[in-house]
Amino acid sequence: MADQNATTLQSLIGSEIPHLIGSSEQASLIEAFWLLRKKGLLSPPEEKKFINNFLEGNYPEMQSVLQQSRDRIAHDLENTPPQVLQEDFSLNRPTQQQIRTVLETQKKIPTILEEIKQATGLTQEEFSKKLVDQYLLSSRKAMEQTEKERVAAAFVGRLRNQAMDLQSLSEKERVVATQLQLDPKINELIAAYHETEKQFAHDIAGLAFDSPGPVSYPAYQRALQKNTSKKILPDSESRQQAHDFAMNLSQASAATETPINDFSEYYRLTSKGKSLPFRLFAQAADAITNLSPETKEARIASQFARELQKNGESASFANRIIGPFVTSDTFRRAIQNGQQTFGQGEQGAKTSSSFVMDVISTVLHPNTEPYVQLATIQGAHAPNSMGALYAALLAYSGGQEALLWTTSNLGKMGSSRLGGFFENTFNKIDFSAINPGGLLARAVGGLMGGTSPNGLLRFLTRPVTAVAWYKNGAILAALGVILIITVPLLFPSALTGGPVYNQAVINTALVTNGGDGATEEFGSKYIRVTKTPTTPKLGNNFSGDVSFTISIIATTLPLTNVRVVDTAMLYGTGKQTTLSFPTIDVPKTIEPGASFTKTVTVNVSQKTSDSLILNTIDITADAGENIGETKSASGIVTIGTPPTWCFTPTDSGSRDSCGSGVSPTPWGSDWAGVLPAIMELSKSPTYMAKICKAGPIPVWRVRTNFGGGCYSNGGIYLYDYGVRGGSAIYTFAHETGHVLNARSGLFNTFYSNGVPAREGLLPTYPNAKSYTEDFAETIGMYVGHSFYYPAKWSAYPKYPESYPLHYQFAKELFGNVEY
Amino acid sequence: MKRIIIFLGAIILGVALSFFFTKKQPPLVQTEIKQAGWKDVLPGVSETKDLLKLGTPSSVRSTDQETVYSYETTNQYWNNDVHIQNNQVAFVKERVFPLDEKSYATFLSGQTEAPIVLYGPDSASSLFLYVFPSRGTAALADKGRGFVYELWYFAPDSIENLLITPFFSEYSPTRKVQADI
Repeated sequence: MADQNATTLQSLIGSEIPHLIGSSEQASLIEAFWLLRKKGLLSPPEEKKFINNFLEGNYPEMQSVLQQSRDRIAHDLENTPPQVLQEDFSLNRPTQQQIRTVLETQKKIPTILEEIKQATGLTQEEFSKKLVDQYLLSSRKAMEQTEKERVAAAFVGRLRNQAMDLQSLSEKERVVATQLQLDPKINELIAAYHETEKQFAHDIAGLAFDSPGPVSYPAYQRALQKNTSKKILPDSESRQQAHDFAMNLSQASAATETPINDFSEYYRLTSKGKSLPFRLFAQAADAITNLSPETKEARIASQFARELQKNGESASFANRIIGPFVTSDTFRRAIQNGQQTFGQGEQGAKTSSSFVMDVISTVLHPNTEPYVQLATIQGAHAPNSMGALYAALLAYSGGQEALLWTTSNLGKMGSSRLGGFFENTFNKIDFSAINPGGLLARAVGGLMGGTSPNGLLRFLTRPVTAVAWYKNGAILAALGVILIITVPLLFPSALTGGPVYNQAVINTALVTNGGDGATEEFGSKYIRVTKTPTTPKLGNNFSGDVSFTISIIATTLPLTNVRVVDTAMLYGTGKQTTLSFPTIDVPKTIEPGASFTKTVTVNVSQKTSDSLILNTIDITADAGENIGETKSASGIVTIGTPPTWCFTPTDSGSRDSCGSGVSPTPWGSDWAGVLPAIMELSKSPTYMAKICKAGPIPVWRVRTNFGGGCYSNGGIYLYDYGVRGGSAIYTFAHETGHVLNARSGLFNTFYSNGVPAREGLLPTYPNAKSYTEDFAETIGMYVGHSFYYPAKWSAYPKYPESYPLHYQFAKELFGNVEY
Repeated sequence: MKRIIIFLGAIILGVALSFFFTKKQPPLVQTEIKQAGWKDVLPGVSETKDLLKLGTPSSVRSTDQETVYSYETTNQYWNNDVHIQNNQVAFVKERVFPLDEKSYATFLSGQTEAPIVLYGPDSASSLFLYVFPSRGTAALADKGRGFVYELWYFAPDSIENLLITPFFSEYSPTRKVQADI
């Protein structure tokens, strides 16, 4: 028995390994280790022990580990009962199905080798090695996990059953099959063939989502052709994942200069997934194809791919691809053919193009609540009835959710801006042309009554019929294209069966300016609140009462358990005073559509000049099953000219603000929204001295929903989210962090002290994982966290408790002034 | 006399010209671009076992794709990272300490061509990635101030191929459109 086991040991580990282990040469020991590891004969602890000694350069111990492993393997063999060995042997025999697989595989070998090479770029040997390594890795993990051990045991059980099946085979078949099965090359190829499928799914899902770039285009192509995308895309639970996949595909395409030219295939493959960019991609392509069959798909596709590659997020991506698309000859022809709609001649064409561009370029900004944005556009630009018609089409195609939103808001807002927009634009519609039955007139009538949205609903449910009356087919096609492109962006739920906007986007979407000096901030979509000063600007030497009107509206759900905190601060040069005023009583419940309005008065007792009064209301309420929804709004009154230190509001300039594509415009009344941020920063003369000592810092206003702000070329640019209330304070403080970096060597101190190395990057700045942004965010969070802390941040480790080093660093910068 | 002077002048000129034209031209030297490496570790060439000479790593992290060996720098908070893929060194990130305002100039010295400048997540703060693809090295640096923060080492390749590797995934030849918050 001992001799037999010795033979088995030799056949098991080979004759070379004992020789290698006997040598004390480092290379020999490593080779022996790899050979044993490849054979799967080392236990995880043995592997770990060897690697640790290898890393420590402890060669004697490396040799000792291998010797012990060899002895352990031999010992295991000696203690394995003969019947188990026999059983193992029988288990290794193939089943009838395996035999068939082997025979079929044998015929496929040349094809398989070619496929492996083509798909992975690896030779068969390289591929096999990779598979072996992965297999060993997964085996090791399996051994460490009880659950996987259970699965493995079940697998052995199935093999036992299959072994019994084998007994039914004739002796001849069994011999042939066994020979084939035991042929190492065929065995390896079978494994490789089956692993290929798994590996593709794993690699593409894993690498495409987690590690952009490395997957070759042929691998993607093959994955799509083999429908493995179905395995991947259903896992795309977020837009980010889907976007990553699209990004990586386009990168792979761009890298190999291989155009993505089969839209129908992509559309088919992705139609069951949740990939918004892909859906948009495919539908836009379809639109082009339908408009102009002679359009060169490959050229457009290549444009799309490049745009995909350039852009960092899906909304931005969409924004970019729409630009080239609407300016393409195909689209321009369609618009120009629709001149009858917009008027004859050049002016008509220009108007129609402007209309399309206005709509497209504005509605696609990220984080934009589509209807409000649409209303704004149409209110300002709608040249004629087509604007309203388009809006109606848009609402209709948005699906049930969009319809409900539209009807609900229009019905309740009646004479508001949104309602007014529809009133004005619907009135421009040539009813006789598109709606001879008078349905629209009744719809508008119902709408304007403010009580019955049913008419509008009926209209909205028949827009296609209405459009069919329209004479010009080209403009219909153009509208169709707009619709096809914008609907997936505006109403992703229509494609995915559920809302795709994440909570943060929804919450930040309803940002409206309630008027001069009044702002509404980020927060719950179920609460709308404004805080409006009666007199936003006062002269110097003012003393007396200042009034603010609060308006609270429940949007779609009843608000219960309503609580408010109302505070007022007087900011002056180097000082801040809390102004007291009577607590306001709010109703505990506000029904949907109902509003609560109250005017509060604060008193400035002493003559005051060059100061600022900031009145902020924070509301907390339960909206249906949504507990603890919050919303804030601020009203600002300036007295004289509040100090701005070195920050200079700059009105002019054709600068491109950090690539937003929008140039700065005059500040107007928005500058008042920044003043509280400057006042907060100025609580620390130490900090102000650091950033102001090198002279003025220009601050530009860029009117776009591009985010909060950015720093570039020595100046600060503030977008729509960066000029109101708490988000303005947070944003402005962050941007001054960039100023501080540019004007001092303090980033090097921050970096050398290992603040980001020891605590990681602050998670609240998601746009770029970088140390310089972390430096700026250190300032932004230090000053801003008391004023701005959106709900999504609650998922992160709590600031400042979880980031004491960041906090302490900022605290020292601010001369121990805390916020 | 005048003729003699002209004659002698012509002879001298002729000798000078013949000397000039017959002077042996130095042979053209085929300059071979040498791959940059970190402590003799060459990405694309060195294997795991070659790391033994670097001493004991401070940490080892593994994923399905790679293993990263971290080695201490002179700064107690930062490490240099060696990325191993398929038993071969794929990438090295050296963090440069102490920060030296001459380190960018040092990085450029000896280079025979201009670096390719890539935009990345730190570009808003004037930190760009300066890449020498054929030498297999790059520096994350503030050129204006002269500081190099990171030195990268990788297998020499075209910039197009490098850009599709995960190590360069956050970098681009064009500025990324980005706003804060």
